[in-house]
Amino acid sequence: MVFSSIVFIFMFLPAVMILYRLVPEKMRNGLLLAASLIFYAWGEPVYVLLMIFSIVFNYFMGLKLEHLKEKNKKKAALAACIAVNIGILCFFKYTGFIMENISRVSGLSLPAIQPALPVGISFYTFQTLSYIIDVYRENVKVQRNIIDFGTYISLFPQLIAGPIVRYKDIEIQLQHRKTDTDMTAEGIERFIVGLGKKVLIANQCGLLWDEIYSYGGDIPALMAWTGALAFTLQIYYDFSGYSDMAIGLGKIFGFTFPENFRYPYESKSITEFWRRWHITLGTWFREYLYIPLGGNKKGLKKQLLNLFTVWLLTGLWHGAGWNFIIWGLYYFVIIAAEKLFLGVLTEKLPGGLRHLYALLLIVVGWVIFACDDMTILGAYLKSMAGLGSGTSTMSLYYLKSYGVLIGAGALGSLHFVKAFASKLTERGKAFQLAGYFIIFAVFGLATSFIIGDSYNPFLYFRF
Amino acid sequence: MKKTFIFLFTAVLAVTGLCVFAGEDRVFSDNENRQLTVMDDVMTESVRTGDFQKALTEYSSDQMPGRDSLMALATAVKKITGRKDIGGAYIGRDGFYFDKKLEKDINSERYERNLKIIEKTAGNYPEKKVTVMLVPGGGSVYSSKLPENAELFDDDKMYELAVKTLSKCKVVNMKEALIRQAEREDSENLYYRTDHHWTLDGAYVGYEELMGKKCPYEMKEVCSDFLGTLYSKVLDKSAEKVVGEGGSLDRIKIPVINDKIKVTTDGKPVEMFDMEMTKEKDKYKVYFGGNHGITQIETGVSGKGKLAVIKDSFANCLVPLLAGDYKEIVMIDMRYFAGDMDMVAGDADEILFLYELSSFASDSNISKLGL
Repeated sequence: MVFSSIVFIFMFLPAVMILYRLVPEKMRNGLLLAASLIFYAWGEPVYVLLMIFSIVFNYFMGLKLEHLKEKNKKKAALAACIAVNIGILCFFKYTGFIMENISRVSGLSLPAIQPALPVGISFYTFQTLSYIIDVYRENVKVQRNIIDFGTYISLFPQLIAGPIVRYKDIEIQLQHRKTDTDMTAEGIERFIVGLGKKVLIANQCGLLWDEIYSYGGDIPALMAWTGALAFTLQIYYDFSGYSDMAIGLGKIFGFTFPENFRYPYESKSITEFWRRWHITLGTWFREYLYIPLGGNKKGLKKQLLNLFTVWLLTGLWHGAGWNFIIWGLYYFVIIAAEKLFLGVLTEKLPGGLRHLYALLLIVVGWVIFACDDMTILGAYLKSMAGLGSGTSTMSLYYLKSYGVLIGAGALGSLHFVKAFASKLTERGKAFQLAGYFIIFAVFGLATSFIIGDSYNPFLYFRF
Repeated sequence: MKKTFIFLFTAVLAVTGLCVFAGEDRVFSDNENRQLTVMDDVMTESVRTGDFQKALTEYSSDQMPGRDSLMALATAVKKITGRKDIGGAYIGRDGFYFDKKLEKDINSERYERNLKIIEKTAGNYPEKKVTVMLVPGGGSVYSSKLPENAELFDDDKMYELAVKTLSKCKVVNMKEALIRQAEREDSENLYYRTDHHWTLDGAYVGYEELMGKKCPYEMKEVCSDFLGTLYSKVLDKSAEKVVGEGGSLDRIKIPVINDKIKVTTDGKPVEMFDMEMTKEKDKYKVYFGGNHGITQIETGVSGKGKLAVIKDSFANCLVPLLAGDYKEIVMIDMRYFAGDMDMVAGDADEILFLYELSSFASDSNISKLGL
């Protein structure tokens, strides 16, 4: 089920919200678990079995890890557990990609096997691993209640598109959480804001990007940049919109999830951008991969190798495709360069130029990310450099037709808007009331767009 | 205030959700011109495969209370932000809407292949006169009414290719004649504002080009509240007013033909002008009640020949005008035709291919003629 659907908003959500208030406190996690499994079973019902296997397997592995005292045995159990989880992820995500490339290189014609990707598998596998590794490290207590554990793994608000919530983030909340009026109201507000971001801005920008992409890459520079900008806004509003909805839903049920985006397009460097973009993924990689590998503590060579590993895997995590690998390595090169010399150099530049530097690289990065056809990618990058063909008439048309949307999207990606809105609502009851009216208006409008648009893509089916 | 907000939000969600299931299901959306998902469709699907879930997702969207108004609201807001195309249709000037088909949307390989098929067919019947009439889209004729900077596919290039490829046929390029007529001050609309078809006035121009003489029939209006396929794409509430008030409601006319003409489609008798259709959503179906595999027309005019028309829906309003010029006309719509070409058209004296240009370029059924 996706959040931006009538079934979720007008049936599933109110039912769960009302039942959650009605059942005794002790049964709330059970209710959330049941609801989450229904939510998960919506698209590919069979995969709910995979989810249940994941829950049961990792539940017992957690108990085992706690039980084992001998260091080597414990390590072996951890390794086995990670292998199973990553193995499942790889099987579902990369089989087709690997087969295809083996065929290409070896000239064999292997059968093209690609099982349907269980939605959210990359997200919940990482969440599961955070639990297992932290149990091993004795950072968290083992979870003895399988209902509570299952609730953590399958929790529907962040199940399919993050944020990646580490077990330790909500360990205590799983057993003790309060839902008060403030938190619920805040949660609803946040959900609606996220829904608006996704439906009113991301989907509309997506239409423009899809249209420009369908030209096949060889286009005038103006159109290429317009398209790149449209995708840059689409992915931000889509992804951060999803995170907002997840965090909002979490609040409605008493959870406080970590923030996932902090105005990433305001960054002055790529290193900073990745501290503001998909924060929970970066945190996960740092904590469970980069630092265990030695991080920056074992000399420059080793550090670069570690960075390379992290970025290669970051790329692959986003999807099984060469463009995602290139995209990951692209960021490895830039971030390594910033660490080595570029960072010092750009710091001397005036602020405006630093923003421009970061933004240019980010936009080019998104083009790599979005073009899963290598031929189109090559042509598109050439077009952005001004080497494409065609006249600019239609480019002007797109700018006129979508200019307001792009402008509003760009403005909204900066922190001023939110800061201004919060200041206004602090001014008194009348402003607060007006705020609620606007929230309801956004909700109504988002509903009308969901109904009116057949175009409502889910971007993370490859994650 | 927060408590009220929470209560209101939850109540709005729950009540709306319940309303989806309440009352009779709507079966058909006139506005969108399509079948809606009803409860029976949902209940017959399987939960295990996920088809039930998919159907319920569609059902809840299709049966959403206030669906039409919500869609109109979305369109209105998009228009306010400056959007010039919605759902694949340009929002033009003076209440016109146009199909948004760009160069990239044209399958030029298939177009070339279709032309070659016609050339080959013409070669198979050297004794017959074969004419090919490709009608341009409305946006090409009324290009000044397109939104600023909006482009369409290059039809001039396509006409050139048609003339080059079809050496055994007579090619009628309708574009110039239609533009010439459209530019005359007393010209009626040659295309509907809200539908992708040409009007009867447009078809009159077609008749003149085809036959080299003025069409002998008078026209008469049969309805004045037509909202066509382009309207269904955009769902623009403001279109639902008459033209003078900023709306786009279209009028439909038919020619006044007094002769007794017998029309059968796929063996059953039908009216050449089906007045019942003026009460339906798709009023263009007035002509022959829509598209059929084979439509046989016996005019009773003596001393004239037999014409075979291989066509899309653009032919439906032009073919009646030919009633005085042929003894018999057989119309074949390749999309719904599975029979033997030779059997129905083998004894025809002339063959006319009549298509709208872009629909001809994308047609995958012409290949049934064989290459």
